[in-house]
Amino acid sequence: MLFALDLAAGSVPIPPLRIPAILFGGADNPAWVAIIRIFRLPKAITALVGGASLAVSGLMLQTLFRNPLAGPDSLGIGAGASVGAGLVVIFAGSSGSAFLGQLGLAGYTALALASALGAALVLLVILAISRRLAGTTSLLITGILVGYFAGSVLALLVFFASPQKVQVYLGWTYGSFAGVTLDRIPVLLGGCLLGFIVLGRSPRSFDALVLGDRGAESVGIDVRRVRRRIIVASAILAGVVTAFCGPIAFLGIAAPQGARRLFRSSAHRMLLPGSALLGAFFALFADILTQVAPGGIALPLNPLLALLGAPLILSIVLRSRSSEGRA
Amino acid sequence: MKLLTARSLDVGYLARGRGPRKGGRRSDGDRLIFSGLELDVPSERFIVLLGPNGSGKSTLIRSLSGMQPLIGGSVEILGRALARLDARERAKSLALVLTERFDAGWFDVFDIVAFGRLPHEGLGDEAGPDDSRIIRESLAAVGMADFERRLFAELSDGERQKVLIARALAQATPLLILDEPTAFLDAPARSEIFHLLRKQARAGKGVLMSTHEVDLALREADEVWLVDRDKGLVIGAPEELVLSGAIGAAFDGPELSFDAATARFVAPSTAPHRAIAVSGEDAVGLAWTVRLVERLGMSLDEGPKGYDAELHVESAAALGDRPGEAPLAANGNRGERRFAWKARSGGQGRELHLSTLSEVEAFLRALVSPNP
Repeated sequence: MLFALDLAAGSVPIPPLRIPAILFGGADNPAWVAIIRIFRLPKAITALVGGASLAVSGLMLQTLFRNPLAGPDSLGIGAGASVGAGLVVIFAGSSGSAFLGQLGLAGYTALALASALGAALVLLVILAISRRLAGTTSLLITGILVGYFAGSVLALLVFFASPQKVQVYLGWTYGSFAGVTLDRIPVLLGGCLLGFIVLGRSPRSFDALVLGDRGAESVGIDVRRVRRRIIVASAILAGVVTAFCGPIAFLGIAAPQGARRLFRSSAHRMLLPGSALLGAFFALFADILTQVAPGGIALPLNPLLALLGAPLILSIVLRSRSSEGRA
Repeated sequence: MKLLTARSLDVGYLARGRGPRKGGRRSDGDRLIFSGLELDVPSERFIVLLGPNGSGKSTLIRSLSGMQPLIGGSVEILGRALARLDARERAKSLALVLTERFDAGWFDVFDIVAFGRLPHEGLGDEAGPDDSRIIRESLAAVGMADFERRLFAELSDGERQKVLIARALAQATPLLILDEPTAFLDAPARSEIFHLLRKQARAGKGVLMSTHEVDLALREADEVWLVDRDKGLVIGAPEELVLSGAIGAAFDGPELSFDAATARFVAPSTAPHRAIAVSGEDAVGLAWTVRLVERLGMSLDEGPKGYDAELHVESAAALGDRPGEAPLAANGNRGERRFAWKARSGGQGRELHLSTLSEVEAFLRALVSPNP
């Protein structure tokens, strides 16, 4: 339903009830069909998949770090993915193609791959640091620093890029589900599906990580393999989504939190689909919000999410002081 | 049957801790804590690894359970080299209870114990009916059957520890190894854990636990592995280790020494020396009167000038036979014991009749600093 509403919302209002007709043919208004097919359908699918992916990535990072505030953005992983994506653009730039513009399918795949690699690199750095520093606060500070670092690298890259690209790049950092056209969706879907498949096979081994590394090992879990699997999967998920939608904030933290509270569960058998669902829901909801501004202006996604997300995270921090992090 | 054997085992930390080293090569930076250990954990035995804090108990436990690379020698579990077992195979023969604390989130007690079934099931599986039965039996074995649906995070330290032991039992392994399971627990909970583990050993398991609880270890263990800073690991029956003076040698410090007769640690007296003769027929009354005398730093042995005072304990029943003296008021406690004391100090011959321990204490204190 939210999906239909997302298709309906925009500067050209289309009645939600007409959506099924438009999607499945038999529509009378060719302009509406074009708007839906070319702009809004890809955007809604991207929001759906992107939201679910960021949420699942966030959930797994929270499991990996045993920390309710871990997430693709709070750990600077989104920033790492941006650097990876930025590098591809610079190299692609020499051949004269515009940012995210004339890249072919191979280009998008390279972009997604570089982005995922950037995400994985940051993740590994943070993991190495977190072994020496325990605790929620130090992890977050590390994430912020790594984020700054990646951000500076990105800023330098931008400095060498042409003004036209900078313009596009800046638009990209606001985060948007709208930049993905229908032909790019297979890459996005494929990458995210890959991430989900890697994770979906062994939810119990993720549960066991709650016992601590040694505790999990004592019940027969190959902790290093599980950890590797989480890193690969969450880097792919966060990386691919970041490559196409820009760094999207807070979704990755908020959705798993919501799923935990909603299902009153810590079992990944519940939380994986639950977070994905809630993430998709949040993303669609936020995307609709970007369209409701008066005057037909589409609001940027990230500031909107931060507006909602920052108070939520503050409430988690405050709560984790009283109860034992059972957020 | 031997469950775990260690041969010429060297335990400690490698200089640059990067996995086990081949063929006994050792660099100067390695820190060796124990060397040449020959250890056996047979079935049906409760072994307690005893030693002062920081003496290397945990390091040894970690080495024996495969969590830390060995510096030399070998550890075999059920005849197979520990280093060759993967995590899952190891978890089927050896269950561990560790000190690592964790945030269990929304997992309840049943979920936590169910983790013990992981080595036996596929990782995607849910616990089957057989698993559920084993989980419930494990919880019942530690007396936590009624806590099945309680959130783990909301339990007390003692309850958590029992649930973690249940988790280890659910692994259904012949061997159980526990690292300091009684740390952070209050006295009744500590005793409970010891009883419970002894029961498991009687039921057939080989149990090895580390602790620094000397008195409980000496009372409950079948065998004690004692860490002595100078002599390494001393192994023997608890009684044997006390009589040989090994316990005293391992634990004595400038402030405390181990008293073999009472199996307690006593501080050297700083109070002016007073010798008290204590007599009586009731064992309980006698024991606690003796404790009071010792607490005040006085001696039970005759001094050079004889005794400074005499105390005679009578049970309240004997007291009740005598008219004119009121027995103590009952306070309704179960197992309450009432006594009366006859006291005579050496200087003055008058016999005092005392009816409470606090009166006895006042009498004893007055011997040191007489207060009219």
